[in-house]
Amino acid sequence: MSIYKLQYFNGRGAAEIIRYLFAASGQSYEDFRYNFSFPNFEKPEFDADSAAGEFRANMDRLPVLTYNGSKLGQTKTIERFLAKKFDLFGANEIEAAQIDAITEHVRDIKQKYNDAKANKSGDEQNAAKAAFVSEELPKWLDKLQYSVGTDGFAVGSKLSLADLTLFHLLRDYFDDKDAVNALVADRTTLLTVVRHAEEPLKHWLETRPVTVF
Amino acid sequence: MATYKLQYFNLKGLGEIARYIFAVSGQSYEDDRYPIAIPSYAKPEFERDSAAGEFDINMGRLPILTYNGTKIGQSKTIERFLAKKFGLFGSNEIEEARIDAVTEHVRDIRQKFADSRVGKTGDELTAAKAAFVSNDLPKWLDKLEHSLEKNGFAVGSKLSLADLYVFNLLCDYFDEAATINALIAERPTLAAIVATVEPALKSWLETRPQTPF
Repeated sequence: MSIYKLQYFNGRGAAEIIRYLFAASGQSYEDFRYNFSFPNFEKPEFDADSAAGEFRANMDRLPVLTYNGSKLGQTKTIERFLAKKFDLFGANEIEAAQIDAITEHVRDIKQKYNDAKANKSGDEQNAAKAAFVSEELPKWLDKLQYSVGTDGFAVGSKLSLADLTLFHLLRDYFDDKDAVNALVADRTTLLTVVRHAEEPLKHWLETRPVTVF
Repeated sequence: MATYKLQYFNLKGLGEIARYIFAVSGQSYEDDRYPIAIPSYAKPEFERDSAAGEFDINMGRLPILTYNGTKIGQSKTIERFLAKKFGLFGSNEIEEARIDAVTEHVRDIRQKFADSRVGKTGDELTAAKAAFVSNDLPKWLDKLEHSLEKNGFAVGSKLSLADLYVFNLLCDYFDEAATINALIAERPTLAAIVATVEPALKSWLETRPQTPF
């Protein structure tokens, strides 16, 4: 039985960077996935377990990581916890802070995207998403580049949570893959990081469950 | 001897929890505040320094911590960095993760508040804020309460970043103090944490610059 159990829905969503960490480090874990119906998102097993207090540590939500019997909540907390354990959080306190800051930059960019498409649906939402990718995202990526190292890794001289987070933003997050790939191709620092990060993730990306989100 | 400089606006905003950390730790620092006019948000000195590249590692924004000459960006990264340095991040990796998760819970609650206000102004905004505080906040505070320990500290047996976050949310964030105080009074775990933090922050709260927010 694995000492690590990750509980989330059967989707990439908020758990995918956590799964990247396990994949990149080669650490085995139980990848527990709650089912849900699509498109109504009915999730009776999750609702039952949540009502029974299974996820109190995470305000009744997922994801939750169980490590040696201790339940830990919050996606980003889990990412930082595992990154530290798997030596993916830098070689010293300054590198750790630089890696941490890059993950926060990416969070900010994703929040801006969410704000742009929030409270919209259908064509209006599609237009808002496209406008963000063509008009806002390029400027954010230019600013982001200043925090990213030019030696092939986001921070320092080895893979870290920052590389995996950048990979997720640039290859595994937006719907319009072609448009985002073009932006990355124009930005050498980001392109190099993405290419390096793809290596340890290759097998996972090829074999992971294919899900609606 | 280590030197610390915190650069932010002359506001509480995203800089205040870092200032709490310095205050409870008794650590001296340079509290460098850029002038900002409210409600126009005019901030020419900041614009000048940002354009000169001073804040490039933080995508052109504040706050920035300079630690022994090295710049670190992102408010939450700065808080975690300082909390670790000053013994406010738990006694072991599990406590650290639990403290980290509490800060993320509080962030989520603030985000829900932000979501309820987005795109609204004037009377509609006032109504939305009041509705959140009376209809949504109580449920979130219940869930937050259930994720915390019961002995006067959010996690473990000493003051941590988690306690500062809970205090900031309940006592230094919302406008409706009377309503929030009533919610705290009904929730003993939260009330105990507020009572723990208050004396540690008393001097800072009494002497800090008074700003619009």
